[in-house]
Amino acid sequence: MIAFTGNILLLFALLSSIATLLFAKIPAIDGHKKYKFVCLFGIFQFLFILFSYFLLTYGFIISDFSLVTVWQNSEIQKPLIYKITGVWGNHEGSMLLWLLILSVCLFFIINFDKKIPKSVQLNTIAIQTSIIFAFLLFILFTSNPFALQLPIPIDGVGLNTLLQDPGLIIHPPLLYIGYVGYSVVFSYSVAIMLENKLTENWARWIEKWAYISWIALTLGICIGSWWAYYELGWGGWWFWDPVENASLLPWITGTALLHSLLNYKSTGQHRDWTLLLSILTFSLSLIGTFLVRSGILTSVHSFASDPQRGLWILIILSLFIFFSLFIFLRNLQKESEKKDFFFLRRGTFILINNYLLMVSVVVIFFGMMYPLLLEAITGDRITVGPKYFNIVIAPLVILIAILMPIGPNLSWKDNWTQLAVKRLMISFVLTIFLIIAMQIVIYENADAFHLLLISLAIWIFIVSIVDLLPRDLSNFRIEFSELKRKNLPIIGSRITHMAFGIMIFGIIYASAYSENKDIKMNLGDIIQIDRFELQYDGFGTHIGENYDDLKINFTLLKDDKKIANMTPAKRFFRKSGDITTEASIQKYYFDHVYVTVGEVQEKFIYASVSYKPFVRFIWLGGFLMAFGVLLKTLFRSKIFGTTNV
Amino acid sequence: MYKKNNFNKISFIILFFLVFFAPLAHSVSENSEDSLSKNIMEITVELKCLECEGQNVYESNSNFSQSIKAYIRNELTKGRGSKDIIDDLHQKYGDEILMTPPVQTNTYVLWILPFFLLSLGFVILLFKLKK
Repeated sequence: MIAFTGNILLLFALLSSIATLLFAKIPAIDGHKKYKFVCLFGIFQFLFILFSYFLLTYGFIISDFSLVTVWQNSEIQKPLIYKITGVWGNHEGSMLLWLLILSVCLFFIINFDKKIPKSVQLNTIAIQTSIIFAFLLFILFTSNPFALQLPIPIDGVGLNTLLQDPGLIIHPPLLYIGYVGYSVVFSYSVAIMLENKLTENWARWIEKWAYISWIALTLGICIGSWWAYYELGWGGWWFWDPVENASLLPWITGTALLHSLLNYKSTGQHRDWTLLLSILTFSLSLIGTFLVRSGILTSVHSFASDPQRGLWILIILSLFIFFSLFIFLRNLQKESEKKDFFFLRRGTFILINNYLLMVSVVVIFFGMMYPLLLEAITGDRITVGPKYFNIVIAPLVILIAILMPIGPNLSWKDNWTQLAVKRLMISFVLTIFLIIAMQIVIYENADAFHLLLISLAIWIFIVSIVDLLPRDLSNFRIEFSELKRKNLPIIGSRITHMAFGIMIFGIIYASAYSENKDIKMNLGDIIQIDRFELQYDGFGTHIGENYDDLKINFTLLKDDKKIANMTPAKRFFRKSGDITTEASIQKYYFDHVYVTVGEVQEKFIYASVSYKPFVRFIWLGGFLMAFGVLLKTLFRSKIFGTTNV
Repeated sequence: MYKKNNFNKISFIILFFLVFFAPLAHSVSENSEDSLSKNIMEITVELKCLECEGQNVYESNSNFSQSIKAYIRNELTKGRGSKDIIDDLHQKYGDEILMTPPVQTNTYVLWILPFFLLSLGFVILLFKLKK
């Protein structure tokens, strides 16, 4: 019954999207009526997809195993929350979520972007609908979540055991909101290009969506990285794995887009480049999905892949990319009049930022694809691992870190101001002092490279803070009273820059100064890890809903005083027989002690113990970055061409 | 003007000392089992698990990785150096087992491209500034 209704709903959604496209493109109907019909069918699409999504969720909740998807990815014993979120823990369901978000975006375009000229809006709706249409076809033909099977099995196969985790509840939706949010940016950009004469305001329509998508993508990546950190069980937070790269690439172009939009808003320059970035960002989201779903690139994180589906996504993405690039080239504006080029301008720094970010995108993409290309051409097989990416990205990060705090101190129109010089000097001195202080307090073994990066992270942090100080210290009070609504966007962007410094600090510090021990421990043994001692106290069992835990008990001590109990576990899933490693993580200020257990015997265990100083800065930085941009989104300045954005 | 220059010099000197003398910090003495497992870790993170999807030997528990780990442990206790062991495995399994691609004819492009693009940016910037 659910299968039938679900298919019907998806079919209706497909018909509505066809109707939307027809009404948008038939010239015979007059303006107002046309617009009304398009909106109406647009909303129908949204509703049908929403209902089909709810229906699938319902299928998961009542464990309707006549649905192949439910049978393959769920079981009766599974906790309710994972039945609900398990909808997106598999290929078919996650594609339906992708589609749902696409249609939610359409709903928002129709209902909340009222100020935009009707003709542009009509085109935007049409383009967004064609994306929905393509994905609907894709779902119906290759990944139907409502596929029926008879006879009905008694119990399901169960969710991939690694996925039964709170991370599943929040990570995929955020990531998808990020990816799919850029579809709106894409649709608007193409619609704007179709409309030959441009209004001044287009940057503002795009901007809102670019900000929101960026926030969601940032949070999604952060949470994904946190999830991998504690779930995969070896304490890494970034592996330069294809799936991670696939999310990082649109994030980088999305970042470039935010900056380019600022540049365009303030100087009116580089319109084409900005539009190209918005097309590119969504294209990269699609390419990422294609690479991951097709199984072309293998990954620790990929949970469903099928070459045939990959082919479909390849077709969809080629169509959209070629179509949009065609329109882009047709509309290319010649930025005719030669403008003088000044180095110390904010716009120049944004261009440099964009260049460095684009180089990172090319380099990461190339590194990811190179083994495939090489094997196809010469048959040689090589591996391009994390170290390669670290080596080639490092110089880019160093340059970005040096320049990034300076940019916001520059003016759009004039050369250095006295104030900017003063601030940068103060920041420089403060940075030096802080580095010295850090060296004295935390005297550790570092190499020049890591120290350089740590210094640069502090540099970013300090400049961003100093930049927030009132311009005129004698007018301290008044200046601070202006730290209200008007200045919140500026504060937001400084927070984001500062947070980037915090994140770099965490990444570098944790990789340079981590201590790691793989060790055999007998009952009662105590090992030393940095300033801590860890004692092994034996093991016990714990029975969960669909799993049994073998919990291994440790006591964490510092200066002979107990800080915490730590209980990493081996988790046995009753149904599948899978075993996962549950890490135990104890925080100590910004540091982590991270314990996992390998082999467990009657007399002894093999434990892997790490101390990771400042590792929490990584996610703190990530969340602060998102928060900063959120401030900026909520309190965007309404004026164009202001120098103080 | 004089003051500013002086300041720059001093700060440069401080930075110079900081950066280059920091590595001369303490060294740690360890017992042999500790250093053995550390050595194994250092080698195995450099090797790809050829049975797995995107994991290195250290992180993986597959049969392949376990046999490689056992082999490395054995060789290390025989007293062989890390580099020799990696070379042997490289010989046996080919380039694919190295997590980081070696710099050789078929990877020149891979290694040069990033630095080429970066220098290209510099050249463009200089060119623009001269104008």
